[in-house]
Amino acid sequence: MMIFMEKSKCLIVAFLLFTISSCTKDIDLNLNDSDPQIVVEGSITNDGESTVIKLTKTVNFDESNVFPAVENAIVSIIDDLGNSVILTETSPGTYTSSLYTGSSGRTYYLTIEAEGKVLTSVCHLTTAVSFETLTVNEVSSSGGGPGGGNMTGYEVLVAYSDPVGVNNFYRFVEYVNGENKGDIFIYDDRLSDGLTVENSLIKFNRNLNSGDTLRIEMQCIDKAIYTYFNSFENLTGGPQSSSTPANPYSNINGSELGYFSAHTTEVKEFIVP
Amino acid sequence: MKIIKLFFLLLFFSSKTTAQTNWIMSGTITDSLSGETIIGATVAIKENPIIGTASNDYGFYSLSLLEGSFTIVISAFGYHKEEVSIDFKQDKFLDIQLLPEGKMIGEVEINATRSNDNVTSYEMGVERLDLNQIKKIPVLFGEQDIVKTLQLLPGVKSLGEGNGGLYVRGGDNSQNLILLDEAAVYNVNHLLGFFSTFNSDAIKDVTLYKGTAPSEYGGRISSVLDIKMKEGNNQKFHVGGGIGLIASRLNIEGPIVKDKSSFLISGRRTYADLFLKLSSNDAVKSNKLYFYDLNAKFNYKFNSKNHLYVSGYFGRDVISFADRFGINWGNATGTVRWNHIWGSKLFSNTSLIYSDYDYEVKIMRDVDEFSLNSIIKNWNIKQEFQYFRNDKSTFNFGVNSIYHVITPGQVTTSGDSDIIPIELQDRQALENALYFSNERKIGTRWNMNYGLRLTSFSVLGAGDFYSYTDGEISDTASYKSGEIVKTYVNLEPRFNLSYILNEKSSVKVSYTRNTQNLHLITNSTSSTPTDIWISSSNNVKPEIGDQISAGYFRNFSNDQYQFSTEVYYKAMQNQLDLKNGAEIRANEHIENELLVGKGRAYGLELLLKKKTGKFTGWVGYTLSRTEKQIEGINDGNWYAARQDATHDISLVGIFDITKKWSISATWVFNTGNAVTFPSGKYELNGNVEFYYTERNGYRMPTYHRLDLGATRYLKKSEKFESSLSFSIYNAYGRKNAYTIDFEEDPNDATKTKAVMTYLFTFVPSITYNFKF
Repeated sequence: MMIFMEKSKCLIVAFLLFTISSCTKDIDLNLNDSDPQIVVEGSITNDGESTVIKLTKTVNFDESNVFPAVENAIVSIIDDLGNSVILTETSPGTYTSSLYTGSSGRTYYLTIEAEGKVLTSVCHLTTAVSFETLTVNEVSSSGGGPGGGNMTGYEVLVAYSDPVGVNNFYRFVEYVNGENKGDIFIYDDRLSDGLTVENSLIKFNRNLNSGDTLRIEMQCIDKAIYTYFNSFENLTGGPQSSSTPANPYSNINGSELGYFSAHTTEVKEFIVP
Repeated sequence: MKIIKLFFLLLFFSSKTTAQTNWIMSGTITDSLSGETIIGATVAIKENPIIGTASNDYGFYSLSLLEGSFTIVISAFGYHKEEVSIDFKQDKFLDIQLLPEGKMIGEVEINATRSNDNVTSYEMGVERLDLNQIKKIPVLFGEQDIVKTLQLLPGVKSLGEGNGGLYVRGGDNSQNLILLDEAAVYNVNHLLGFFSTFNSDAIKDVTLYKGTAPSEYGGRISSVLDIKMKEGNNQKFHVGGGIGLIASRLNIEGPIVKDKSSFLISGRRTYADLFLKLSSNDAVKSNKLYFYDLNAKFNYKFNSKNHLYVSGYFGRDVISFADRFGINWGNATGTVRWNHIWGSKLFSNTSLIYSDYDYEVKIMRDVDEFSLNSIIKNWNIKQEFQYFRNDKSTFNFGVNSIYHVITPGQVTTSGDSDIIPIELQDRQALENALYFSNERKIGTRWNMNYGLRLTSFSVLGAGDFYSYTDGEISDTASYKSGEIVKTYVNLEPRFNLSYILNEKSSVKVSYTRNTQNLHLITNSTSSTPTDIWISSSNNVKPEIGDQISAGYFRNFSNDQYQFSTEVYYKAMQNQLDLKNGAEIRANEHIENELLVGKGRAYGLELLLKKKTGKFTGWVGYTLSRTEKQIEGINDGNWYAARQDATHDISLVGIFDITKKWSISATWVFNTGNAVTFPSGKYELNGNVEFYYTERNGYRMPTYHRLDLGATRYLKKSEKFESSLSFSIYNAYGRKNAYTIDFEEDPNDATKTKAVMTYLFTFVPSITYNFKF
């Protein structure tokens, strides 16, 4: 719901731009170089899947999209009961453990020693909330958008019952034929504490083809991760983003980029008829 | 308390100095054709031009004279001079009427009245717009706009295309006190800033104080924009209007009782949405996109000593997409004023003022159906006096009390919505001010104005007030209705001094302190209708602005050309910004999302103006720097504010070629706004994301644009006037960047490229104006 409101400004601008017509043009900017930073992408989940921490580095804007892996790091995790593990580098920059998996109620402490730096993070794995239903509707003429009537596509609705009296944070990840589409769908329960919620994963051009597998993963996330993705969405730009861009609020100490998320996970699938 | 004592002592002391036994001439100066009072008309003695005064905001003047015979010269910009010979043996009450230039038969409309007031006056950093000139300046879609015209002056800028904001000498948009007939206007934007809320048909006077504003003004730290509405013609009925590309205007004014009472009603509405109705698509047909403004004023003159004015403004924007989403916002103001003249030296004005601003966002999709609205409003009572002590000294003093109520956000739902309604507590505050100022001439070379404004701002219950430690609530205190939660008292000195070098040139200095207790919170870089206002509180301290400026003023060719240069330095304390990604709407803990810091701005302004003759216009240049330092942003280092632009040039030229044709051109050039661009990129969840190293470390491309205009007067007689205005916005089609985005190169997926969006290139428009 709040996501929709964030997008409302885009909508107005989009509408206005459409009304008065706008054009785009490539532009050559001379952007500064920056020192390479370590980017952490890590998760530990309650579904018995491997714990994976991926370490890469930033490159300059005008370079190719080839992001160097951070190799030979020492990556360890310990929980609040003292269970610990040192992850093994299974491919360059990817550190995993198939035996050390997450469980609800535990808090995980991550330590990374790489390239002379020490990065740390803490994340709590919260109690699971059940992913009740996934509904996908074809919207042939949702109407109204810029250009009117070309907002066709699919509407994806997810439902769950928010537990009363606790702050809950949710993240949904959309995969089409196994590919993460990169959209951020996050919700809190500020306006829906204790209710059965049906949220629409709002996306303006969701084009699916017959036979495609749409997989929606529901995650119950830590507040820090909610903050990370919330700031990520508001800050990292994208067309017509109106905030001053900045790096999102990472929960990694020692680096500005990336996150370490302990979360529950539940998946539902839909095959486009 | 000590401060208050001191304040009265000063006032008492200043007025105690013994006066000579002079006779007093006083009265009201009006336009002979419309009966409108004239602001700032000069009343001087021909035999001794040093003695003189000027009419106040209501056209009233008072001048002390020794016994004898004098010729009084009354002049005002845009009016024919009037001379009256008087033999003074007693106090004299004299109302004066001035004939506007260009109204005599066979006369070409040329501003001829020249004056060196700009040199001799203590005022600096003050811009008064000539409303006749505004009509001739080319603008987007031909919609005359005072805000857009102000942006052409040095020290005043916008954030580029479609941004109606005013950024004055490095201040933020929300730090301008914008008054329409004394009522605060919180949001001056229509359609997200492509147009402003002021319909120039209804406007009589526009004054912008970039530097030191008189002590009667207070509450914002950057500038004061004082806009006064016309009273309405008390001699004859007139209907005027205009038909433009996107909007039409209609203006009706006339006497209710001739010479005593008149009214004015002025409206404007856009009709771009009517074109949507032509669409064959039902969804498009049901979209809405329009705004309107309605100004109304009424006045009644009981006698020469009592005058009542009632005025109001109402404007609204409505945007909605079919049955999905809607947003509307608007301002409303109302002012009742009573002028009373006590004797011949003391002028009093009592005002009762109301103003509000609200917005509503609606989502109309069954399960998510809800609406969110937010309101800020105030009731304001003001008592002010002007004491014309003698021809060398005038006092202004008064009291002002404002009751603010802010409804930060309410979420209401209906039907089967699965959203929980939220109602945040209203916030109340009482703002009081006591002020005085003295305008004084010392000898023949010094002119000064000094004053003090004492303000108190009390946050009142009822409500729960939170304290925060390390981002978490550490304490909650509940207050009953009317209980004081926190009071801030501030003393604001104001000072202006000019030293006249000779008739043609002067040097001036000024200093001002202002405080601001209402803060606009925005999470985007441009202003949007859903930005919210919060008041100072137990967590939020008043913003404080100090500005010092100095200038040199010089006129050439018998006052035909006016040149001025000013330098300023402005320091701003308790500046607010939001944490990244903070939720501002319907968030009861918004104060926990704030970052606090300071700002500084300094610059040099040059302005060469030609106000009279067939050719009028100006050239302005600003060299400036505006920076902020906020804990939690840019590692706590100083960074350029978004409105920072190193160089800013504006050229405005209007040429009245013949009685039938007038042409105009404006050219603007400025360094691009400070902006944050990525300095690297990385991969996350399979997507390429950007890495930022420095806040506002880059610049948008240089902005420049030429606009051309022409006016053809079709008919001009006593009974009917009409004209056609043509304009071309961005005549040479410069592609000015509106936004710059970064995206994957479609030709090479391993690369990333920058793409800019630009809006208007070469937008012609035509407007038909009439008056009968």
